[in-house]
Amino acid sequence: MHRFAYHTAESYSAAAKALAKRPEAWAKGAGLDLLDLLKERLIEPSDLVSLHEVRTPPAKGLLPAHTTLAELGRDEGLAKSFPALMQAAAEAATPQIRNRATLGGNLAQHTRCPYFRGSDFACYKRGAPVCSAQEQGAFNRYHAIFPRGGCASAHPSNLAPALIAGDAIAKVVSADGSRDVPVAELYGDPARGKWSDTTLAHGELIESVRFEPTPLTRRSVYKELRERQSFDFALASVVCALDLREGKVHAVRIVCGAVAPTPYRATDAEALLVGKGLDEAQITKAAAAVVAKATPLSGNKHKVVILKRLVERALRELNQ
Amino acid sequence: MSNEQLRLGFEGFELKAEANVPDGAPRPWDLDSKLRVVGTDVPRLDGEDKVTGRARYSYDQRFPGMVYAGILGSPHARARVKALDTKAAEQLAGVLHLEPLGDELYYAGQPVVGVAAVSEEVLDDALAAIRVDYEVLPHVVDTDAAMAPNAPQAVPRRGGDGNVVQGRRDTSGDGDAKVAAAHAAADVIVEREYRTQVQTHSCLETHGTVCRWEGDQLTCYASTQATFAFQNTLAQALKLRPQNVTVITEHMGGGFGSKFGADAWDVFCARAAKATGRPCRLMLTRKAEHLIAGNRPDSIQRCTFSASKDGKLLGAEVHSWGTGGVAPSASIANPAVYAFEAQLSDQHHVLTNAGAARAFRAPAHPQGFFALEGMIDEVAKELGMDPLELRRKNDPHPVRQRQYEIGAEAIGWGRRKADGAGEGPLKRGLGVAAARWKHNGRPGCSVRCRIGKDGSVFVASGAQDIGTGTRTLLALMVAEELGLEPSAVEVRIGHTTDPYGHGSGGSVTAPSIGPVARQAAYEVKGQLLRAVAERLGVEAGALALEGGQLTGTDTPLPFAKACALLPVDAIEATGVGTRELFSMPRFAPEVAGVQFAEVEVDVETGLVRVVKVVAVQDCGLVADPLLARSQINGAVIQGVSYALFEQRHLDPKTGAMLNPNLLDYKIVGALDVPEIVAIPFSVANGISTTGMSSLGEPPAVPTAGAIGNAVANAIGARVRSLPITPDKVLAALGEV
Ligand SMILES: Cc1cc2nc3c(=O)[nH]c(=O)nc-3n(C[C@H](O)[C@H](O)[C@H](O)COP(=O)(O)OP(=O)(O)OC[C@H]3O[C@@H](n4cnc5c(N)ncnc54)[C@H](O)[C@@H]3O)c2cc1C
Repeated sequence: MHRFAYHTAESYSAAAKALAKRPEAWAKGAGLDLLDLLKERLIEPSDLVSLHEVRTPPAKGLLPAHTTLAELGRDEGLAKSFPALMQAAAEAATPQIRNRATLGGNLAQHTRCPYFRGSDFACYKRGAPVCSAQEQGAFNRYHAIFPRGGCASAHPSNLAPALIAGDAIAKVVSADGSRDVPVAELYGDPARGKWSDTTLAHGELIESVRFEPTPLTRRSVYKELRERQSFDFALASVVCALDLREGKVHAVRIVCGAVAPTPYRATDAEALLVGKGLDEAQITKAAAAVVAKATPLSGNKHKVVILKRLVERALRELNQ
Repeated sequence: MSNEQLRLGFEGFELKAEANVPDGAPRPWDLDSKLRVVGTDVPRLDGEDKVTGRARYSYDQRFPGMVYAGILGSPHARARVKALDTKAAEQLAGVLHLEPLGDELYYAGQPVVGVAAVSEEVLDDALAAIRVDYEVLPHVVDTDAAMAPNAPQAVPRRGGDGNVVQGRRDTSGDGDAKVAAAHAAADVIVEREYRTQVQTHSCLETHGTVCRWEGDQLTCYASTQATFAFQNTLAQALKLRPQNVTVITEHMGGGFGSKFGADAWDVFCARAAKATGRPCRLMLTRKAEHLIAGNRPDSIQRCTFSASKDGKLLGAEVHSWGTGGVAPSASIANPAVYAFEAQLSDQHHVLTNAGAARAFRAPAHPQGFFALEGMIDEVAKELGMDPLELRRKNDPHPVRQRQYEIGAEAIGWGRRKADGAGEGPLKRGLGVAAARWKHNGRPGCSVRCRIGKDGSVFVASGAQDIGTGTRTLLALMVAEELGLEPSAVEVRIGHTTDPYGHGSGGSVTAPSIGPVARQAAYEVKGQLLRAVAERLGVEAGALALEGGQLTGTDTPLPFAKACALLPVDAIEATGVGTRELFSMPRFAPEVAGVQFAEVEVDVETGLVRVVKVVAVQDCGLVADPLLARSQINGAVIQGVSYALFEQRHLDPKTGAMLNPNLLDYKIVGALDVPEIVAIPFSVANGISTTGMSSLGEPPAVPTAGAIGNAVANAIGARVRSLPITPDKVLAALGEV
């Protein structure tokens, strides 16, 4: 077993300081993502800094990064203020995993692409010149239909699309202080050798996430399709949020998961809906627009169809 | 030898037969037998031990000073070891033993080096520190690609080139001409290609053993489904006499056909234990379990079936190809069951650079029956006939004929709609499929039964429990003969120092040791009654054991009191599985089963959910309906998993496995398990003195076929490939 030093921290900023001092150190939430990487010897950290002991006092409208998916999934307040976030958390993984998995870890988790996760394979994110999933004959049934930046992995997080749809802001701490980052800006284009899907620098940690309950968050819904009903990641997912005023779409968010290397916001489809009434024809048009620019791989054309259907279902449900 | 009239069969279909019962054997159980505990729901005797964690599996064995062994597997699908540098690994503190295990490598995961170390952590470091210089050679892991003319030769083979090896070629009658003639006379001919995937056994307890030497005596706590085969193969490999190897398997965590003899890694474990002078444990990692410990081959089945317009099946012609990796072993059971006029099965094994296939719960059958049963439905559709009716017209088995009625009633076959009918995106469908298996009980086992003066009853069989409930079954047989409750019988299984039992393959265990256990109890009962009769000065023939008592005396004596009259400390008999004991007349030549499935398919997303499965299964005399239902449930669950989820994915470029874990290798979870209506169907079968037959495998045969048919009924389009995932459903519907 690879040996590392193990540290605990009282606060996120203390943890950030501990990380900043050690270029080969990794932060650990519940470790559900991290331990798999360790076991496969994909990473060999010098130190692990555990965030598991951090407790921040509850504050209204603030979700500490250590909030578990289980807590989010049964939050009565969220059921009213942001149902899509609650649903996204409740649908993830399994009860055991949700009891441990943290919000921070969920947002910063790594893709489940088997070429990334398996030491037997070459992976662009891990520094190889090519993306194995895009090679001829590759197994890419679960991959991106919007590959980007030379990578075709699918982003695994259920929570990120919801938080992006809700215009949520992450408080990011580092040894030098803290800054506010819209959750949407936590994610950037993949690049060769860039392991993480986030834009966070080494030593930066998500301390909390907040969102303003708005008509958008209140009228929001999460839809996903997975092959297995538990212990599985989504084939495709979508969060739709709708602000209808006087029969017209005042604002709308359509953010998709598991279809691109990062959460995928369908701005074309959003634009098409704004200012107009919402009916079946508009819904069909918008769903088609969501996937209009899809460039599926050899083995995942079905994800285009599935995503389109999920968008239709989500919008229909919100329109009721 | 005495002649007994037996009444065999089941209610509504009975026949009388004359049995030759060997001297000293009890009258065989039949429809007239009044059984007390046999045929009632008796919970698994070790159930509580299993769910509380008290049961100790091989995995759980820990001994002071024990070392941990593991293997470094090849990362390449085809390679040669040019140079091996183990210096760094050997210099690590705590590495105690290391040996090369192979240098000509034909599949990823194939053992290259074995290591033993003081802890799992050090072992892991040592494996990572080994440097191997591989000459990477061309490989092929895909079945279709391996069949191409210029494909690399996956493994050298005797007597030929290329990766395609001719397998079984069965024709009925005088060959191909008959099938051609049957087709020519037909009103409908259906020609289709079906495909099934590679499924790995995925035993919850991975393969392996814990070995301990005391002098030249070796004890192995092996996770095996064949204690004596393990003993024998290990002894051979180590050039020992079998008596020098004791195998102990009191509990094992799944085998499904993949755990017979000792494997190369078990032999290494024994050697490492010897070399280090310490107990040694080697259990495969989950990844190795997927790669090198067996699998069910895939299949490509090109089928041409024909029928007359009144629904008589005429010709069945099947050409198949499949890969068992480096082992030429991709047989399929197709055609089967139905009374075709003429049939031809022309099978091919395709060699690829992947771990060798092993027997897997009803080998050849689930894959064969997915295609066979799909074809029957497709013929019915062409004929415009109800698929159940077509089956009933062409199925010669009397038990299945009755099972079709029971199953149809239980699932509500009358509700079945036209293919693809119904409003909205969620479509329901019903499907049916048949199962067959051989009566696989056979002579050769022994069981020992001992009664102590204190009234204790002890039964021992060296056979193991692959999960079917061997312990409980032995107790049941003995309890029935001795008039006791099964809980009053103490059972030891899985020690090769006890009487011989067969490996659990082909669903032989219960039907093979059942009659023998009964025989042992019957003989020891005879001894007890004679001894007691002598003490009391009565006729032994007047005495009997029932309800925990000795009866036939003036006042009944409790069993223990009767035993106290024994003149010796214990009496004992060994039941021997003679040929005569298994030579009773038979009711039907095969085990029969039928399953019905109901599915719900989302035609917009392609997602299939199995709502309900009704499984009606014959296993001869049902000794314990609770255990029987448990076997049926397990088989159906595994069948749903095979039909919808499981698939080994190998990367064509590297030949490595893309999903060597239990997250990406998808096994059905609780939320996807349908309502299962398991209906054990008891048939007085004859065959042996207990009339029991095979059960572990037959209910695993039809599930995927029934689900495939239900999906076709639901959506009005057919998915001819397993697993039935959303992408394939959408493709069948023309959506992608
Ligand atoms: C079988 C299975 C199924 C799953 N299904 C789903 C699913 O359907 N949907 C879904 O969304 N997820 C799913 N998950 C993922 C699961 O939700 C994540 O593994 C979990 O949320 C990660 O949280 P963690 O606390 O364990 O993170 P860790 O493993 O501890 O950390 C993950 C990464 O995040 C970093 N990190 C942790 N905390 C912070 C922080 N506060 N700030 C910055 N970086 C941080 C770590 O350094 C690490 O790189 C599944 C996981 C499993 C094992």
